[in-house]
Order: sequence, then structure tokens, then C-alpha cells
Amino acid sequence: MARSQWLESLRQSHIVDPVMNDPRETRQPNTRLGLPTQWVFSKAIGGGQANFDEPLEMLSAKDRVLLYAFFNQKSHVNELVHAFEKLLTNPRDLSGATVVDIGCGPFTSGLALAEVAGNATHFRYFGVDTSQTMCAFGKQLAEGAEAAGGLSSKTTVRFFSSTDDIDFGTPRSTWTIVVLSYLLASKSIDAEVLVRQVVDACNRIGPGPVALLYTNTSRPEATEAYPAFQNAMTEAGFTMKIEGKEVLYLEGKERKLHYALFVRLGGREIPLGEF
Amino acid sequence: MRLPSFTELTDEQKKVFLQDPLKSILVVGPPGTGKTSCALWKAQVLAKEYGLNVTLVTRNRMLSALAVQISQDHGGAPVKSVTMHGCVSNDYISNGFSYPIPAHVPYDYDWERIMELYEADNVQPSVDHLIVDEGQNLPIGFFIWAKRFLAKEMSVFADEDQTTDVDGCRVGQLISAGYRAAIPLTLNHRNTEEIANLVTAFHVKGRIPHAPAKRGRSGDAPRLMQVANWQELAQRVAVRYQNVGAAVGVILYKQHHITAFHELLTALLPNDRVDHYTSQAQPRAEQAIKMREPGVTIISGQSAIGLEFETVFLQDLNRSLPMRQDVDYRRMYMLCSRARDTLILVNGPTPLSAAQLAALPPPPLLER
Repeated sequence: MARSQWLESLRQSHIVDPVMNDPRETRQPNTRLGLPTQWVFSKAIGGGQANFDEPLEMLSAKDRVLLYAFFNQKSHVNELVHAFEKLLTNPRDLSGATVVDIGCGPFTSGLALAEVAGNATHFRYFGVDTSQTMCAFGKQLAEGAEAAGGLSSKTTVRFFSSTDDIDFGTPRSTWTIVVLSYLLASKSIDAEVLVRQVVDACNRIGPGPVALLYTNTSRPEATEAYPAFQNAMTEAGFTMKIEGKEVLYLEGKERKLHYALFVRLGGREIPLGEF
Repeated sequence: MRLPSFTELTDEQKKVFLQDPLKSILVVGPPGTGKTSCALWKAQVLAKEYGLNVTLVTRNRMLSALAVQISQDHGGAPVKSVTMHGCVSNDYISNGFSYPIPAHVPYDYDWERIMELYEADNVQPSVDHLIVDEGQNLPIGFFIWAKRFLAKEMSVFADEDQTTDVDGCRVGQLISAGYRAAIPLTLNHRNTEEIANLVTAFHVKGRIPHAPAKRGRSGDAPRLMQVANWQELAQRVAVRYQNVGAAVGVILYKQHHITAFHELLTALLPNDRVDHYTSQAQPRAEQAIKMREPGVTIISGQSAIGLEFETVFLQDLNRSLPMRQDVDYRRMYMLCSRARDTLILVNGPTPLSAAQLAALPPPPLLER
């Protein structure tokens, strides 16, 4: 599947060229920045769970984030584009929506949404990641996307380390879309705390409908936390609309995916004391 | 991945809170979010499928007539729809109490005294389910009385941001009628995006945010049109109707203007439906007005509550502009949201003052 020119050129200019033109890059097989790719996967990136704010041996924190984007981000963007194309058959449904991307990495789902919705549709994006280095690079990619014409000029992009830090402003009734992409693969995530933060954020955003898209690798060790997460979401008033495990073939690569869509369509009942 | 679209999910959203029709509910929502449709759906389901004695109470006779017409068009038996005054009066008499109904002034009922009489007589509710549409314009005393003595269950549909009556109630007051929470409706199915954006300019920030317009942009921005006299307005309305057709609403203020304008327009459109309604109309005259069919309906701003037309000429502006109090904003909010496709604000025949014109939103929200 061909991606938009702006997305391809953004990846080239902000991710591929900085890596391939780095003085440490030898272009030897099975290496990157002069290091064995196996070591890069397991230590520098750590399957996406590394501490991206810490340098590691000869790699700076920014190097580690760049390598994550180089090796992991493209396939994650492809998976999310696949999902959003199903959800956004009418891109106008996204208009004015609030997107909360928890474990956002470098603006991954923001890029996927922009690719599907086009630059005529604006939304407000809140990226949440515990890594400041990831957030900083995500901000760079968002600015690059807007400069390249991939984002509406009315789309706003902001990054935070926690949903508890976000001031969502005046409540609104448009869609809220929460994205949890590969977040539950991390062993440090407490599902109940996560759901509390999600529900609290949604309640502050406003009374409109909410959709939460969960994606993860389908490897058993990565999905251990899912049952507790599903229970907590159901207890919180969400309906699990669909759950599935599939093997996707995207750009010649096999992706074993576990995904689910939770919705809260009816709007939160508002206690009369709040009127 | 097998995923539904947001469009499909939005259609489901409309049905979520209607899953248990027997339940008393309080539903709040901005203009165009489907309160009246839901109220009518609930009334028909309860009457037809559950065989219950259901009464629908609306703010005024025009809305009451609309409710009956919609229910008939959906193939159901006509829903019993009355105004609040008709509802109270009918029940008072059927319980054997003597006129007049206790009131501070005519139609401003003394609810405390009424409830004393009902309590002393141990009156039991006779209606299985009372459904109230546009509840924000009814006094809280009515709800307390109705919950206690009129109906076993009661569902209320309201938008306090459209309250235009001084004795209307706030949603929070409905705690006194036994409600604890309100279900919000959040999607505007009626207005185009351009009209919804203008309506938002008059939105007094309440608990419920304005609802995004599902219909999207039409390319037809609301506009301010100047007319020198009533004849010119009649000609503009006639031309618009002849060119575009569909249901046109002309909203005026004074009753005698409505009657006079009806004569002018009928002369220009002798073969088309031109109806008018004033508060002096004969009983049940409003039931003959097919306001949703192609033609022109001329009404007052007060009678426009809850109604909608493809095109609206809004001339009832003078009493709301410039907006000095919340009720002025709410009136403009309610009136401007009556239009589905085209909204034309009328400056004239008496020209609006500079201050009044300055209070209106600038282009591109409102084109001149």
C-alpha cells in the first residue's frame, strides 16, 4: 500500500536520513550505527519498552528514540492506518475529535490518523508518554507533518507525561478516541490505574461518545495484562465492541496482532448536582 | 481487522438510552440532537408495544400538533399530546375539583395549593407514563405535582440553554421531582455546520457543550437580509419558496404582523400552502397546519419552540438584540437553530439599530 508523499518524505528526512547519514553508520549488514542490530533490538530499543530517556553505552537517549522510530514505528503506523481506515470510513467523523494517545511514542497514532483523515480534517491530539525524549521527537515529527502538508493547520498537538497533567479545556461533545498501542506489553503498567486515568480523562473531555482502540502483539507474554484491563473497562461502563487476533500482512511483513475496540456511546450520565 | 465505522457507532448511539423504554429518564441536549424524536419514539413504543396509557406534554399547541403529525406519519396511532395547561386542567376536572384551578395569576398555578387538594383527596396517578418535551419552559411545580399525582413514571426531555420562559425550570431543579442524573444527547442532526456555527455564537455556556453538526457543510452560510417593508419580505419569501420549495418557516414577533403577512403571502402564492398560527387561533386550528410539508408556515417566536423548517426567515430579532441578559442569548440560540438548511435573519421593516447590528456575529458566521 502506498503511503502519502508527505508521510514518506517525513520518515525519510526525520528518521532514515539522520540514521543512515550518521558518522557512526557503516552500512554493514546486520548493523546499524555500527552496532549489531540484534543488540539494538534487545538492548537499545528493548522491544519498545526501554528507558528512552537514558543513554546506553555509545547511544544517547535521542539515538535510542531515533532507532525505535527507524525499526518499529513504520509497522505500527501501518497497523494503525489499517485500523483507522475501518473506523474512519467518513473522515468527517474525526472532525473536532479529541485524541488521547497513551504510550504515544513519537506521535505514531497521530501520523496514522493524519494519513487516513487527510489535512482537511482537524482534531486535537494529546500524546502521553513517560519518556520526555519520545515526546520531544514526537513534537518534531508533528511539526514536520504540518510543514509537509499532512496535518490541518487547525489540528493541535501536545505532549504530556501523564493524562493527569492535561487540561482539556471546556467540555465538548465531539468524539473522544483513546489509543493504547502496544502499551499493555509493558510489565510496568497497572491495568486498573490505567483505566482510572482513561475514564477520568474522558469525563473531563466532555459528554460525547468515546472509542478506545487497543492494539498489541498477540504473543502470550505481551497480552497477560489484557484480561484485567478488559474487566476494568467493563466495570467502568465501557462495552467491548470487538476483540480479535489476526495475522496482518502489511508491506510484505507479517504482523501478529491482538486488538480490541471499547466504546462508551451513551455519554456519561451527569449528576444533577453538576448543573 | 474487523472494526465498525464511527458512522455506524454514531447510529447506535441514538438508541443506547432507549434500551429500557419503561424507565423514567431525564434527557438533556442542545437543539437538533433529537429530543423530540426520542420523546415520540418512547411514547409510541410504550403505547403500542406495552399498551400503556401515555401522555405527551409539550410547551405549546404548535409543538403538540407536530407531535401528533409525526406519530401519525410513522404509522402509529396518534399519540395523546397536550399542552401543560391542557394536561393540568383535564386532570383537575377529571378528579372532581372545582374551577378555578388555584393560581397566583391566570396560568401561573399555585402548585402548593393544588397539591394540598390532591393530597387531601388521596389522588392516585392515572397516567402510566408521562413524557415531557421541551421541559425547560415548564415550571418546576408542574414536575413535582406530575411525579406525585399524575403519572407513575415520567420522562423529561429538556435543554435549559433554550429556556425562554421566566417561569421555566433549570435542569438541576428536577432533583425535586426525583431525578438524580441526566443523559446527554451530543450530536446535532438538524442544522448544517454553517448554521450550527452561528447558533453556537449565542450559546450561553451551560453544563452541556454545543453539539457538533453531523450534516457537515452545505456552502450556504446564514445571512442578514434587509427589507424596507412587509411587501418586500413577502416577495422574498415567495421567490425563495418558488425556487427551492420545501418547508419554509417565517418567524415574526407581533400577532397582528403574522395575520397581515399571511394575507400578503397568500396573494403571492395563491396555489401553495401558506399557513399561519397565532395564540388567538381557534382550538385545534394548529392541527391542520402541515408544517413539515412544502409550503410556508408563519408563526411567532414563542410558537417556534421545538419546530424545524428547511428554510427559516427570522424577523423576531428586535426584542433579543442587543443581548443584555441570558434569556436574550437563549432566545437567539433557540430561534436560529430552527433552520435545517438555510437561515435568513431579516433586518426590517423597522431597521435594526447600530447597536443591534453590532451584536450580531460578523462574517463568515453571518454574511451581510
